[in-house]
Amino acid sequence: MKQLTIGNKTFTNRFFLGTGKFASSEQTKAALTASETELVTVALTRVHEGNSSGDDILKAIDRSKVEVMLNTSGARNADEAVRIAKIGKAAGFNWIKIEVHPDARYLLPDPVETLEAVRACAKLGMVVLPYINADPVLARHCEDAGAAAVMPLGSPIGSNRGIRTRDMIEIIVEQSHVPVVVDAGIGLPSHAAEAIELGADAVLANTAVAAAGDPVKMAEAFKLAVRAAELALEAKPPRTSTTANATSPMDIFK
Amino acid sequence: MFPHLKYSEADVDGYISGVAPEMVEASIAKERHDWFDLLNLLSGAARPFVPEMRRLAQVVRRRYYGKTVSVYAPLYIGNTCINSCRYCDFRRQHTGTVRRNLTLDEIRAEAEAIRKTGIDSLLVVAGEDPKVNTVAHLAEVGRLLKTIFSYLALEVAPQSEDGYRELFAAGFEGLTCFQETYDQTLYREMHPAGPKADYDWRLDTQLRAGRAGFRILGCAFLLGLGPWRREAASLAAHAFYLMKECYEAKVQFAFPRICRVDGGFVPPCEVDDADLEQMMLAFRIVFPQCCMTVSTREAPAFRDRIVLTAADNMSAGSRVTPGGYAVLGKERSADVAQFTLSDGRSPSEVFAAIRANGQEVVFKNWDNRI
Repeated sequence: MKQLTIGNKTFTNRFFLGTGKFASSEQTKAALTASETELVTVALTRVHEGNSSGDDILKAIDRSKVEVMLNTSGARNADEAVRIAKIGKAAGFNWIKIEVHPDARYLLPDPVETLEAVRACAKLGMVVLPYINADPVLARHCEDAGAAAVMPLGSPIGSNRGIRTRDMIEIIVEQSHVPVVVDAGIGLPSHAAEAIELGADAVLANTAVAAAGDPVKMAEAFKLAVRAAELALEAKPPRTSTTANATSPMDIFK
Repeated sequence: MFPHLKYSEADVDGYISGVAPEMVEASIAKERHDWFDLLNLLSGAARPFVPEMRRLAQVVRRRYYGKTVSVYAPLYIGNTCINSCRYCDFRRQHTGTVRRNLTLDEIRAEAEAIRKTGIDSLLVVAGEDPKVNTVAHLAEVGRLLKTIFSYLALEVAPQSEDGYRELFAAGFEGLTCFQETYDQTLYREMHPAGPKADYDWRLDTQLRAGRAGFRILGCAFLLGLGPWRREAASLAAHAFYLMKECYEAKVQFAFPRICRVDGGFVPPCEVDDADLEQMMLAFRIVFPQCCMTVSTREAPAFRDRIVLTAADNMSAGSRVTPGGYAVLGKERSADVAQFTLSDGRSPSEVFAAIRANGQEVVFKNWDNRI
């Protein structure tokens, strides 16, 4: 596969990891190590500046190896998202995941407010990755507004339901000029592999890893699944067919 | 019952007593749950399924809240009150209560004492005294406390929508208002005088706060006043209603159990530990995304267990007397408390118990600059 570059950074690992819901910062750290991820998302609401308590997620992250992308989780509109982005930028974080989900039940992203926030944050010179519904038209609007990548959802956040938006993601992949990162709803390593197989540039998961019985092992499983799918694409899989094709063909004619 | 519900008390009681084990099994097996599933899970027929409900609730809780528990503390800024709630030691007729309203300096001292423990989310509580706790005063308190805590919630007398708008702007993000009982006849009996006698004004509190921008809308009834299954059915209906009307806010459940108070009030419908656990599990399963809190009214063993399966949020080291953290010092005494606490552990002991259960203590879950 071609090299993955988002913003000014090139990635060798296409698996990105969220940092919420872990049992301790030690566990977060161990999962990050096992995943070999190069990009993590962190909610600004969990970041302590100055007076750091025991639950500060940043403690678990080696920022020399891993890019930190703050997310605007909790924002209900563009104003709040941009405010979070500005707080983050002032604290030295230039990567921002725009996450605007006013509806607390399904956490579905608000397309109108998200687009507005993308435009504003791009103007601030930030590397902006919007979390969006798998809407190809919206993806193009986000691209035009300055998004460095688009992050369509597979299914609602934390639902572990896998990729229910496959057809739309395929269109986004086909049309996008910026990388496509499938985010949300990825519940199993096979879902992550599926995202890569259908052409996404990377996958982001969190709940599937953090809520697993053994998050460290699950982090490794995701890394391997994403890498396996990437290798398989490079290996150029044969076409599918509706009839059998014998592995040892018996030709009746000489 | 919750007034927007089209069923009567008799309908609900009849339905719940008619629930068969197969109905409970079907509700447990479903992925999306409605109000009738909640009734099934609250029923007597569901009691033998509690171990299964525990397993399911734990899975759901972990999916939405991960292996984390958020912690907060209540700060009582005053206990003067013009209401006459029959079960409460802050009621105006209760002469045994020492009345005190903290000054801003005292509030700051209390807040700093709480903040030192690591706790970063605060619930501001006061009795209903419109001369003292005006919106302007509460807003001033909010602006002060916002400089100390990441997240502020409010549990004071119901305010108007404009009042809530001002309080939201001042820094309060969450609101808690217990309806006490959804039964209007019982409500009248329990609240014979004072502004709290107005059932409808209290019922719409969350709606007004939600419209004014509040993010967390806390709802509850007081466990012990009316039959718990019926009250829980109303609470759930209230929650479904708010989720539609205020979709930008999150509903938070609390299950405050009333205890026998100095005034000699004996709760007419006592709720035991098994009832309480079944109810909390049922709500966690039916409302996976809603917040659920467990206060220090409950004993350590119950609290430590329920945050694994149902609650995502708990108080620690609570003092329910104005000035109880720092201002009163050693003269702190139980006779001015609103109710009796069952978990007297220090915050650090509570945090250690959470961690021993394999969960992370989350202090900061919001940012007051947003």
